[in-house]
Amino acid sequence: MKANGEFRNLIRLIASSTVLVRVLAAEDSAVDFAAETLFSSDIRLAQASLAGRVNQGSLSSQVSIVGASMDLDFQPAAFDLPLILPASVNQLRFSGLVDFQWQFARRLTGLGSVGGYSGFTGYRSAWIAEYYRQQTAGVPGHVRPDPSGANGSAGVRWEYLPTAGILETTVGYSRDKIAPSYDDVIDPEEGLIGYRPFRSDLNTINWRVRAENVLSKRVRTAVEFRFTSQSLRGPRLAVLGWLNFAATAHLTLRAEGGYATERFELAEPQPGDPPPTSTRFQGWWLGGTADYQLGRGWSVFATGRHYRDNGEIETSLSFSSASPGIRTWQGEAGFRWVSDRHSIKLSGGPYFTDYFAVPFNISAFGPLYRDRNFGFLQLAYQYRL
Amino acid sequence: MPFEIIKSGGFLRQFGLSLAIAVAVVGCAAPKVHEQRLVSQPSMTFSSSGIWRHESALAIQLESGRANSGGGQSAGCTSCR
Repeated sequence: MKANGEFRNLIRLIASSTVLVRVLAAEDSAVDFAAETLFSSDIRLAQASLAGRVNQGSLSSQVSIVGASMDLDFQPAAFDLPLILPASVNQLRFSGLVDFQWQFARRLTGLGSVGGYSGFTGYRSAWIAEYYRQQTAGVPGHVRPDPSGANGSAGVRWEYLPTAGILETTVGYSRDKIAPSYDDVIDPEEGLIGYRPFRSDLNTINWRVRAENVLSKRVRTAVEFRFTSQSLRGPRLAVLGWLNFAATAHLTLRAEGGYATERFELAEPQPGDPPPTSTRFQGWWLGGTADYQLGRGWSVFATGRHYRDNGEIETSLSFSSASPGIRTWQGEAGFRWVSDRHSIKLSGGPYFTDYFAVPFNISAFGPLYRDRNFGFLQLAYQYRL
Repeated sequence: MPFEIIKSGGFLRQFGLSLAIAVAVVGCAAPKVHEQRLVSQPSMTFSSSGIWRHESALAIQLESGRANSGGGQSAGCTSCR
Protein backbone atom coordinates (compact mmCIF):
# COMPACT_ATOMS: atom_id res chain seq x y z
CA MET A 1 0.00 0.00 0.00
CA LYS A 2 1.37 3.41 -0.87
CA ALA A 3 2.31 5.86 1.89
CA ASN A 4 -0.45 8.34 1.07
CA GLY A 5 -3.01 5.57 1.27
CA GLU A 6 -1.79 4.57 4.71
CA PHE A 7 -1.88 8.19 5.85
CA ARG A 8 -5.44 8.54 4.59
CA ASN A 9 -6.47 5.39 6.44
CA LEU A 10 -4.78 6.65 9.60
CA ILE A 11 -6.74 9.91 9.45
CA ARG A 12 -9.97 7.97 9.02
CA LEU A 13 -9.10 5.76 11.97
CA ILE A 14 -8.35 8.76 14.19
CA ALA A 15 -11.61 10.43 13.17
CA SER A 16 -13.55 7.29 14.00
CA SER A 17 -11.75 6.99 17.35
CA THR A 18 -12.74 10.55 18.26
CA VAL A 19 -16.38 9.69 17.79
CA LEU A 20 -15.85 6.57 19.85
CA VAL A 21 -14.39 8.54 22.75
CA ARG A 22 -17.43 10.83 22.74
CA VAL A 23 -19.68 7.83 22.89
CA LEU A 24 -17.78 6.46 25.85
CA ALA A 25 -18.17 9.74 27.73
CA ALA A 26 -21.87 9.07 28.12
CA GLU A 27 -23.38 6.89 30.81
CA ASP A 28 -24.73 3.39 30.37
CA SER A 29 -22.02 2.58 27.85
CA ALA A 30 -20.10 -0.50 26.90
CA VAL A 31 -16.97 -1.15 24.90
CA ASP A 32 -16.44 -4.30 22.93
CA PHE A 33 -13.06 -5.37 21.62
CA ALA A 34 -12.70 -8.43 19.43
CA ALA A 35 -9.71 -9.93 17.65
CA GLU A 36 -9.52 -12.92 15.38
CA THR A 37 -6.90 -14.66 13.31
CA LEU A 38 -7.19 -17.34 10.64
CA PHE A 39 -3.95 -18.86 9.47
CA SER A 40 -2.55 -21.59 7.24
CA SER A 41 0.93 -22.28 5.88
CA ASP A 42 0.61 -19.58 3.19
CA ILE A 43 -2.32 -17.36 4.25
CA ARG A 44 -2.44 -15.35 7.44
CA LEU A 45 -5.48 -13.19 8.14
CA ALA A 46 -6.17 -11.06 11.20
CA GLN A 47 -8.89 -8.66 12.22
CA ALA A 48 -9.51 -6.49 15.27
CA SER A 49 -12.56 -4.39 16.07
CA LEU A 50 -13.44 -1.85 18.71
CA ALA A 51 -17.05 -0.85 19.29
CA GLY A 52 -18.68 1.50 21.73
CA ARG A 53 -22.39 1.74 22.34
CA VAL A 54 -24.54 3.95 24.47
CA ASN A 55 -28.21 4.07 25.39
CA GLN A 56 -29.67 7.45 26.31
CA GLY A 57 -33.41 7.54 26.70
CA SER A 58 -35.06 6.59 23.46
CA LEU A 59 -31.80 6.88 21.52
CA SER A 60 -29.16 4.24 21.16
CA SER A 61 -26.06 4.34 19.03
CA GLN A 62 -22.97 2.31 18.36
CA VAL A 63 -19.71 3.25 16.71
CA SER A 64 -17.32 0.56 15.58
CA ILE A 65 -13.97 0.58 13.83
CA VAL A 66 -12.25 -2.42 12.32
CA GLY A 67 -8.70 -3.00 11.16
CA ALA A 68 -7.72 -6.10 9.21
CA SER A 69 -4.55 -7.46 7.68
CA MET A 70 -3.83 -10.03 4.98
CA ASP A 71 -0.43 -11.66 4.62
CA LEU A 72 -0.26 -14.00 1.62
CA ASP A 73 2.50 -16.11 0.09
CA PHE A 74 1.30 -15.60 -3.47
CA GLN A 75 2.10 -18.60 -5.66
CA PRO A 76 1.25 -18.71 -9.38
CA ALA A 77 0.25 -21.82 -11.28
CA ALA A 78 3.24 -23.78 -12.63
CA PHE A 79 2.37 -22.99 -16.26
CA ASP A 80 2.44 -19.25 -15.54
CA LEU A 81 6.10 -19.35 -14.46
CA PRO A 82 8.24 -17.36 -15.10
CA LEU A 83 5.78 -14.75 -16.42
CA ILE A 84 4.12 -14.65 -13.01
CA LEU A 85 6.41 -15.01 -10.00
CA PRO A 86 5.89 -15.90 -6.34
CA ALA A 87 5.46 -12.84 -4.17
CA SER A 88 4.63 -11.75 -0.68
CA VAL A 89 1.35 -9.82 -0.57
CA ASN A 90 0.52 -7.67 2.44
CA GLN A 91 -2.66 -5.62 2.57
CA LEU A 92 -4.53 -3.66 5.22
CA ARG A 93 -8.18 -2.77 5.43
CA PHE A 94 -9.86 -0.20 7.67
CA SER A 95 -13.57 0.24 8.12
CA GLY A 96 -15.97 2.11 10.30
CA LEU A 97 -19.68 1.87 11.03
CA VAL A 98 -22.11 4.02 12.97
CA ASP A 99 -25.59 2.76 13.67
CA PHE A 100 -28.51 4.42 15.38
CA GLN A 101 -31.72 3.25 16.99
CA TRP A 102 -34.54 5.62 17.91
CA GLN A 103 -37.59 4.36 19.77
CA PHE A 104 -40.20 6.76 18.44
CA ALA A 105 -43.26 4.88 19.71
CA ARG A 106 -43.91 2.40 22.49
CA ARG A 107 -43.22 -0.63 20.31
CA LEU A 108 -41.57 0.92 17.27
CA THR A 109 -37.89 1.68 16.80
CA GLY A 110 -36.24 3.32 13.82
CA LEU A 111 -32.95 1.83 12.65
CA GLY A 112 -30.18 3.43 10.62
CA SER A 113 -26.53 2.94 9.82
CA VAL A 114 -23.73 4.43 7.72
CA GLY A 115 -20.33 2.94 7.10
CA GLY A 116 -17.34 2.76 4.86
CA TYR A 117 -14.08 0.93 4.28
CA SER A 118 -10.82 1.17 2.44
CA GLY A 119 -8.88 -1.92 1.34
CA PHE A 120 -9.54 -5.38 -0.03
CA THR A 121 -12.53 -7.00 1.63
CA GLY A 122 -11.09 -10.49 1.21
CA TYR A 123 -7.79 -12.21 0.64
CA ARG A 124 -9.04 -13.72 -2.63
CA SER A 125 -9.41 -10.33 -4.25
CA ALA A 126 -5.92 -9.35 -3.03
CA TRP A 127 -4.53 -12.56 -4.55
CA ILE A 128 -6.34 -11.99 -7.85
CA ALA A 129 -5.19 -8.36 -7.97
CA GLU A 130 -1.57 -9.47 -7.51
CA TYR A 131 -1.99 -11.92 -10.39
CA TYR A 132 -3.27 -9.20 -12.72
CA ARG A 133 -0.64 -6.72 -11.50
CA GLN A 134 2.11 -9.08 -12.62
CA GLN A 135 0.35 -10.22 -15.76
CA THR A 136 -0.26 -6.71 -17.01
CA ALA A 137 3.10 -5.23 -15.95
CA GLY A 138 4.67 -3.21 -18.74
CA VAL A 139 1.57 -3.41 -20.94
CA PRO A 140 -0.82 -0.47 -21.27
CA GLY A 141 -4.13 -0.72 -19.52
CA HIS A 142 -3.39 -1.76 -15.97
CA VAL A 143 -5.14 0.24 -13.24
CA ARG A 144 -3.68 0.29 -9.75
CA PRO A 145 -6.42 -1.14 -7.52
CA ASP A 146 -7.69 1.02 -4.68
CA PRO A 147 -10.74 -0.82 -3.38
CA SER A 148 -13.11 1.02 -1.09
CA GLY A 149 -16.78 1.33 -0.38
CA ALA A 150 -19.56 3.06 1.49
CA ASN A 151 -22.89 1.79 2.71
CA GLY A 152 -26.01 2.88 4.51
CA SER A 153 -29.26 1.37 5.67
CA ALA A 154 -32.56 2.36 7.24
CA GLY A 155 -35.36 0.36 8.73
CA VAL A 156 -37.84 -0.18 11.52
CA ARG A 157 -38.30 -2.65 14.35
CA TRP A 158 -41.70 -3.60 15.70
CA GLU A 159 -41.92 -5.29 19.09
CA TYR A 160 -45.28 -6.86 18.43
CA LEU A 161 -45.09 -9.00 21.57
CA PRO A 162 -43.34 -7.31 24.51
CA THR A 163 -40.14 -9.25 25.37
CA ALA A 164 -41.25 -12.16 23.17
CA GLY A 165 -41.69 -11.09 19.56
CA ILE A 166 -39.72 -8.72 17.35
CA LEU A 167 -40.09 -8.09 13.65
CA GLU A 168 -37.68 -5.79 11.85
CA THR A 169 -36.88 -4.83 8.31
CA THR A 170 -34.11 -2.76 6.77
CA VAL A 171 -33.23 -1.56 3.31
CA GLY A 172 -29.60 -0.89 2.49
CA TYR A 173 -27.48 0.44 -0.31
CA SER A 174 -23.76 0.08 -0.82
CA ARG A 175 -21.33 1.19 -3.45
CA ASP A 176 -18.03 -0.60 -3.84
CA LYS A 177 -14.96 0.08 -5.90
CA ILE A 178 -13.22 -3.23 -6.53
CA ALA A 179 -10.03 -4.41 -8.19
CA PRO A 180 -11.10 -5.25 -11.75
CA SER A 181 -10.36 -8.25 -13.88
CA TYR A 182 -8.88 -7.63 -17.34
CA ASP A 183 -9.51 -8.53 -20.93
CA ASP A 184 -6.83 -8.79 -23.62
CA VAL A 185 -6.69 -6.13 -26.31
CA ILE A 186 -5.52 -7.97 -29.43
CA ASP A 187 -4.40 -6.31 -32.61
CA PRO A 188 -4.71 -8.65 -35.64
CA GLU A 189 -1.23 -7.75 -36.78
CA GLU A 190 0.68 -6.87 -33.63
CA GLY A 191 -0.90 -9.33 -31.23
CA LEU A 192 -1.37 -8.29 -27.60
CA ILE A 193 -1.18 -4.52 -27.34
CA GLY A 194 -2.82 -3.88 -24.01
CA TYR A 195 -5.35 -4.79 -21.38
CA ARG A 196 -8.84 -3.47 -20.85
CA PRO A 197 -10.11 -3.43 -17.28
CA PHE A 198 -13.59 -4.71 -16.67
CA ARG A 199 -16.08 -2.87 -14.50
CA SER A 200 -14.68 -1.86 -11.13
CA ASP A 201 -17.69 -0.29 -9.41
CA LEU A 202 -20.52 -2.26 -7.88
CA ASN A 203 -23.89 -1.04 -6.64
CA THR A 204 -25.76 -3.23 -4.20
CA ILE A 205 -29.28 -2.98 -2.85
CA ASN A 206 -30.31 -5.27 -0.06
CA TRP A 207 -33.48 -5.84 1.84
CA ARG A 208 -33.57 -7.73 5.12
CA VAL A 209 -36.48 -8.99 7.21
CA ARG A 210 -35.86 -10.56 10.59
CA ALA A 211 -38.21 -12.07 13.14
CA GLU A 212 -37.10 -13.00 16.63
CA ASN A 213 -39.41 -14.88 18.96
CA VAL A 214 -39.63 -16.59 22.30
CA LEU A 215 -41.49 -19.77 21.47
CA SER A 216 -41.61 -21.30 24.94
CA LYS A 217 -40.01 -21.06 28.36
CA ARG A 218 -36.89 -22.66 26.91
CA VAL A 219 -36.75 -21.76 23.22
CA ARG A 220 -35.79 -18.53 21.49
CA THR A 221 -35.59 -18.39 17.71
CA ALA A 222 -34.72 -15.96 14.97
CA VAL A 223 -35.28 -16.19 11.26
CA GLU A 224 -33.96 -13.77 8.68
CA PHE A 225 -34.64 -13.31 4.99
CA ARG A 226 -32.24 -11.40 2.78
CA PHE A 227 -32.67 -10.15 -0.73
CA THR A 228 -29.61 -8.75 -2.50
CA SER A 229 -29.29 -7.26 -5.94
CA GLN A 230 -25.79 -6.38 -7.12
CA SER A 231 -24.44 -4.94 -10.35
CA LEU A 232 -23.65 -7.61 -12.93
CA ARG A 233 -25.00 -10.37 -10.73
CA GLY A 234 -28.34 -12.04 -10.43
CA PRO A 235 -30.60 -11.39 -7.45
CA ARG A 236 -29.62 -13.37 -4.38
CA LEU A 237 -32.08 -14.70 -1.84
CA ALA A 238 -31.04 -16.09 1.51
CA VAL A 239 -32.79 -17.42 4.57
CA LEU A 240 -31.02 -17.82 7.89
CA GLY A 241 -32.30 -19.36 11.10
CA TRP A 242 -31.14 -19.67 14.69
CA LEU A 243 -32.62 -21.66 17.55
CA ASN A 244 -31.44 -21.41 21.16
CA PHE A 245 -32.61 -24.05 23.62
CA ALA A 246 -32.12 -23.83 27.39
CA ALA A 247 -31.71 -27.54 28.10
CA THR A 248 -31.11 -26.79 31.79
CA ALA A 249 -30.45 -23.66 33.82
CA HIS A 250 -26.75 -24.11 33.03
CA LEU A 251 -26.71 -25.68 29.57
CA THR A 252 -27.64 -23.80 26.41
CA LEU A 253 -27.77 -25.50 23.03
CA ARG A 254 -27.66 -23.31 19.95
CA ALA A 255 -28.35 -24.34 16.37
CA GLU A 256 -28.00 -22.26 13.22
CA GLY A 257 -28.48 -22.82 9.52
CA GLY A 258 -28.85 -20.96 6.29
CA TYR A 259 -29.38 -21.24 2.58
CA ALA A 260 -28.55 -18.78 -0.19
CA THR A 261 -29.29 -18.95 -3.88
CA GLU A 262 -28.52 -16.69 -6.81
CA ARG A 263 -29.53 -17.05 -10.42
CA PHE A 264 -27.82 -15.24 -13.26
CA GLU A 265 -29.41 -14.68 -16.63
CA LEU A 266 -27.34 -13.43 -19.52
CA ALA A 267 -29.06 -10.23 -20.59
CA GLU A 268 -28.30 -10.41 -24.29
CA PRO A 269 -26.37 -13.53 -25.28
CA GLN A 270 -24.57 -12.98 -28.54
CA PRO A 271 -24.46 -15.53 -31.36
CA GLY A 272 -21.52 -17.80 -30.83
CA ASP A 273 -21.31 -17.20 -27.07
CA PRO A 274 -20.41 -20.38 -25.21
CA PRO A 275 -23.02 -21.50 -22.71
CA PRO A 276 -22.17 -20.39 -19.16
CA THR A 277 -20.77 -23.18 -17.02
CA SER A 278 -22.90 -22.22 -14.05
CA THR A 279 -25.92 -19.95 -13.84
CA ARG A 280 -27.14 -20.71 -10.35
CA PHE A 281 -25.30 -20.36 -7.09
CA GLN A 282 -26.45 -22.36 -4.10
CA GLY A 283 -24.89 -22.42 -0.68
CA TRP A 284 -25.98 -23.74 2.69
CA TRP A 285 -24.57 -24.07 6.14
CA LEU A 286 -25.32 -25.69 9.51
CA GLY A 287 -23.85 -25.30 12.94
CA GLY A 288 -24.37 -26.09 16.58
CA THR A 289 -22.98 -24.93 19.93
CA ALA A 290 -23.16 -26.34 23.44
CA ASP A 291 -22.58 -23.69 26.10
CA TYR A 292 -22.25 -24.75 29.74
CA GLN A 293 -22.11 -22.43 32.77
CA LEU A 294 -19.65 -23.69 35.36
CA GLY A 295 -20.47 -21.05 37.97
CA ARG A 296 -18.80 -17.88 39.31
CA GLY A 297 -19.13 -16.34 35.86
CA TRP A 298 -17.20 -19.07 34.07
CA SER A 299 -18.56 -21.06 31.18
CA VAL A 300 -17.18 -23.32 28.48
CA PHE A 301 -18.47 -23.99 25.00
CA ALA A 302 -17.86 -26.09 21.90
CA THR A 303 -19.03 -25.38 18.36
CA GLY A 304 -19.14 -27.27 15.08
CA ARG A 305 -20.01 -25.76 11.72
CA HIS A 306 -20.23 -26.93 8.10
CA TYR A 307 -20.62 -24.88 4.93
CA ARG A 308 -20.80 -25.80 1.26
CA ASP A 309 -21.66 -24.18 -2.06
CA ASN A 310 -21.52 -25.13 -5.71
CA GLY A 311 -19.22 -22.33 -6.79
CA GLU A 312 -19.65 -18.76 -7.86
CA ILE A 313 -21.57 -18.08 -11.02
CA GLU A 314 -19.16 -18.08 -13.92
CA THR A 315 -20.10 -16.48 -17.19
CA SER A 316 -16.78 -15.26 -18.56
CA LEU A 317 -16.05 -15.94 -22.20
CA SER A 318 -12.51 -17.07 -21.50
CA PHE A 319 -10.50 -17.27 -18.30
CA SER A 320 -12.10 -16.49 -14.98
CA SER A 321 -11.26 -15.99 -11.33
CA ALA A 322 -14.60 -17.31 -10.02
CA SER A 323 -14.34 -19.66 -7.07
CA PRO A 324 -15.23 -23.30 -7.66
CA GLY A 325 -17.49 -25.05 -5.16
CA ILE A 326 -16.21 -25.37 -1.64
CA ARG A 327 -16.88 -27.32 1.52
CA THR A 328 -15.62 -26.21 4.91
CA TRP A 329 -15.63 -27.68 8.40
CA GLN A 330 -14.97 -25.69 11.53
CA GLY A 331 -14.53 -26.79 15.13
CA GLU A 332 -14.22 -24.42 18.04
CA ALA A 333 -13.77 -24.74 21.79
CA GLY A 334 -13.29 -22.04 24.37
CA PHE A 335 -14.21 -20.42 27.63
CA ARG A 336 -15.91 -17.24 28.80
CA TRP A 337 -15.75 -15.30 32.03
CA VAL A 338 -18.36 -12.70 32.87
CA SER A 339 -18.50 -10.25 35.77
CA ASP A 340 -20.44 -7.06 36.42
CA ARG A 341 -18.07 -4.89 34.40
CA HIS A 342 -15.62 -7.16 32.61
CA SER A 343 -16.23 -10.07 30.30
CA ILE A 344 -13.74 -12.05 28.26
CA LYS A 345 -13.95 -14.90 25.81
CA LEU A 346 -11.16 -16.95 24.25
CA SER A 347 -11.65 -19.72 21.72
CA GLY A 348 -9.94 -21.49 18.87
CA GLY A 349 -9.91 -24.55 16.70
CA PRO A 350 -9.31 -25.98 13.23
CA TYR A 351 -10.92 -24.84 9.98
CA PHE A 352 -10.66 -27.13 6.96
CA THR A 353 -11.45 -26.15 3.36
CA ASP A 354 -12.06 -28.54 0.48
CA TYR A 355 -12.52 -27.03 -2.98
CA PHE A 356 -14.16 -28.91 -5.81
CA ALA A 357 -12.07 -29.59 -8.92
CA VAL A 358 -10.76 -26.39 -10.53
CA PRO A 359 -12.04 -26.08 -14.13
CA PHE A 360 -9.61 -25.38 -16.96
CA ASN A 361 -10.64 -21.76 -17.39
CA ILE A 362 -9.92 -21.07 -13.70
CA SER A 363 -6.67 -23.04 -13.59
CA ALA A 364 -4.52 -19.90 -13.34
CA PHE A 365 -5.99 -19.53 -9.86
CA GLY A 366 -5.51 -23.18 -8.89
CA PRO A 367 -3.01 -22.28 -6.13
CA LEU A 368 -5.58 -19.88 -4.68
CA TYR A 369 -8.36 -22.47 -4.74
CA ARG A 370 -6.47 -25.37 -3.21
CA ASP A 371 -7.53 -27.20 -0.08
CA ARG A 372 -6.10 -25.80 3.13
CA ASN A 373 -6.00 -26.60 6.82
CA PHE A 374 -6.45 -23.39 8.78
CA GLY A 375 -6.26 -22.72 12.47
CA PHE A 376 -8.13 -19.87 14.08
CA LEU A 377 -8.17 -17.99 17.37
CA GLN A 378 -10.72 -15.53 18.69
CA LEU A 379 -10.52 -13.15 21.61
CA ALA A 380 -13.35 -10.91 22.79
CA TYR A 381 -13.44 -8.47 25.68
CA GLN A 382 -16.26 -6.27 26.94
CA TYR A 383 -16.16 -3.46 29.47
CA ARG A 384 -19.38 -1.93 30.81
CA LEU A 385 -19.23 1.53 32.36
CA MET B 1 -34.09 -4.97 -11.16
CA PRO B 2 -34.86 -5.45 -7.47
CA PHE B 3 -38.34 -4.03 -7.85
CA GLU B 4 -39.10 -6.40 -10.71
CA ILE B 5 -38.14 -9.28 -8.47
CA ILE B 6 -40.32 -8.01 -5.65
CA LYS B 7 -43.28 -7.69 -8.02
CA SER B 8 -42.91 -11.04 -9.69
CA GLY B 9 -41.08 -13.19 -7.14
CA GLY B 10 -43.04 -16.16 -5.90
CA PHE B 11 -40.37 -16.62 -3.27
CA LEU B 12 -41.25 -13.31 -1.66
CA ARG B 13 -44.98 -14.03 -1.69
CA GLN B 14 -44.34 -17.34 0.03
CA PHE B 15 -42.03 -15.65 2.44
CA GLY B 16 -44.63 -13.03 3.37
CA LEU B 17 -47.27 -15.68 3.94
CA SER B 18 -44.91 -17.84 6.01
CA LEU B 19 -43.91 -14.89 8.11
CA ALA B 20 -47.52 -13.89 8.76
CA ILE B 21 -48.38 -17.45 9.83
CA ALA B 22 -45.27 -17.67 12.02
CA VAL B 23 -46.07 -14.39 13.74
CA ALA B 24 -49.67 -15.44 14.33
CA VAL B 25 -48.68 -18.84 15.75
CA VAL B 26 -45.96 -17.38 17.94
CA GLY B 27 -48.35 -14.76 19.21
CA CYS B 28 -50.56 -17.50 20.61
CA ALA B 29 -47.69 -19.53 22.05
CA ALA B 30 -45.41 -16.95 23.66
CA PRO B 31 -44.87 -17.46 27.39
CA LYS B 32 -45.64 -14.71 29.87
CA VAL B 33 -42.87 -12.42 31.04
CA HIS B 34 -42.41 -14.14 34.41
CA GLU B 35 -41.93 -17.44 32.57
CA GLN B 36 -39.01 -16.15 30.51
CA ARG B 37 -36.22 -16.56 33.07
CA LEU B 38 -34.32 -19.18 31.07
CA VAL B 39 -34.70 -17.55 27.66
CA SER B 40 -33.51 -14.21 29.07
CA GLN B 41 -30.07 -15.50 30.02
CA PRO B 42 -27.30 -13.81 27.98
CA SER B 43 -26.32 -17.12 26.40
CA MET B 44 -29.88 -17.45 25.06
CA THR B 45 -30.05 -14.04 23.40
CA PHE B 46 -28.85 -13.00 19.95
CA SER B 47 -26.32 -10.45 21.09
CA SER B 48 -24.05 -8.63 18.65
CA SER B 49 -21.23 -8.64 21.20
CA GLY B 50 -18.29 -10.93 20.47
CA ILE B 51 -18.62 -12.25 24.02
CA TRP B 52 -21.78 -14.11 23.07
CA ARG B 53 -21.44 -14.65 19.35
CA HIS B 54 -20.08 -17.85 17.83
CA GLU B 55 -19.31 -16.68 14.31
CA SER B 56 -16.08 -16.14 12.46
CA ALA B 57 -15.76 -12.79 10.70
CA LEU B 58 -12.82 -14.04 8.65
CA ALA B 59 -14.34 -17.31 7.43
CA ILE B 60 -16.89 -15.31 5.44
CA GLN B 61 -14.06 -14.51 3.03
CA LEU B 62 -14.22 -18.14 1.91
CA GLU B 63 -17.92 -18.78 2.44
CA SER B 64 -19.42 -16.38 -0.07
CA GLY B 65 -22.95 -17.70 0.46
CA ARG B 66 -22.92 -16.24 3.95
CA ALA B 67 -21.79 -12.82 2.75
CA ASN B 68 -24.40 -10.16 3.26
CA SER B 69 -23.54 -8.16 0.16
CA GLY B 70 -23.63 -10.80 -2.54
CA GLY B 71 -19.92 -11.51 -2.39
CA GLY B 72 -18.93 -9.44 -5.40
CA GLN B 73 -16.31 -7.42 -3.57
CA SER B 74 -14.36 -10.48 -2.47
CA ALA B 75 -14.53 -12.28 -5.74
CA GLY B 76 -13.44 -9.56 -8.10
CA CYS B 77 -15.59 -8.84 -11.08
CA THR B 78 -16.12 -12.46 -12.02
CA SER B 79 -19.33 -11.94 -13.90
CA CYS B 80 -17.89 -9.26 -16.15
CA ARG B 81 -17.61 -10.22 -19.76
